[in-house]
Amino acid sequence: MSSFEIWGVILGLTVITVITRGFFLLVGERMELSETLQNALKYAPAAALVAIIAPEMFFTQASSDMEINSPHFWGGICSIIVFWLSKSMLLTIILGMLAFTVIRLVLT
Amino acid sequence: MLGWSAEQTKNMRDGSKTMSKAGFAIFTWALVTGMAMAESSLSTSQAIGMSILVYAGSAQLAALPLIAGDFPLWTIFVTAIIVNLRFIIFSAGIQPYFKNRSFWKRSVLGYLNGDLNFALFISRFPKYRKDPFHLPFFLGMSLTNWAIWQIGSLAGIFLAGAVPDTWGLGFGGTLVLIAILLPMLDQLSARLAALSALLVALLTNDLPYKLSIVLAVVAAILVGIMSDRFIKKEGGTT
Repeated sequence: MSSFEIWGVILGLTVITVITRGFFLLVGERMELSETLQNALKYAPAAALVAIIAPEMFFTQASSDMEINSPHFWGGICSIIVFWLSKSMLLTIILGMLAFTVIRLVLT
Repeated sequence: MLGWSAEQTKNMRDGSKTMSKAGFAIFTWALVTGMAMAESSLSTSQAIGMSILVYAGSAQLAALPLIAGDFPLWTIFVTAIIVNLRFIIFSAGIQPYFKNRSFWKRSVLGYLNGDLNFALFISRFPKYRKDPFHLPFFLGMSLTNWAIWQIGSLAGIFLAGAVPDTWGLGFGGTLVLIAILLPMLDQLSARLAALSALLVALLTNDLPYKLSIVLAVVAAILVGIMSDRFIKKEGGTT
């Protein structure tokens, strides 16, 4: 991606932050989110995160074949377990990176 | 400042203190986001620009692999909007408190209303009633949040340069997303929805434009709504 395009992405994402965070503050009471729609929308952010995280864990950059014997996969699994046990973002990052690094050194 | 009473200034300081308690978590999250940006295909000035302007950690981290993969701009924007959908719901939550402010002020207040900010504001003022302390408290919190975030993010951008690429620090960004994702899966229907999103995302990974994200979201919404209904029905009969 060219430098110009990346700045385009940055400006676009800035506009998206302003519009999504301010949405109902800006449109005021002219619009209301129906309960059905709110219920449907609440599943979307987690699903998008899953769809971003999954390829980083399950696929290697080099090929489109699934490869789970990788530092990315086991580092991710380790961080999931750590978060479930500790609920701490800091421990999740530190131990996840530690597992990632140890497995990277073992596999290479 | 702003012609506030002593009591209002005190509320601004309270807001700042409330946010400071989460300071360490904000700093770490920002540090890793900064490192992930610096390790990605962004230049240092682009990483700084993204940090200061976009100011939305999860959308930034979600955008990085898409920028690196050279996906079209609209794919990146659609993904960011979906990741940010929760903010639209948050904005409805704080709307009554600030509805009488000018358009310009409402834009700034919205821009500052991140996850922690919203959660802490609503726990301090659960029900709307007329009160001169909403704005000072909100600003105290959100400006503290902004400052800690930017310091952590800039530190990450500059520290990453000192670390060899082979360490794979960018993977820390994925780990942060995992720590943001897991607390969202607090109910059975949310877990089933996420599981279906995982299956769909893996099966459709080869599709162009990262359509896998949109399909995963559609699958999760359908499964989420169906399991909601099913659980309600089961709960009703027993």
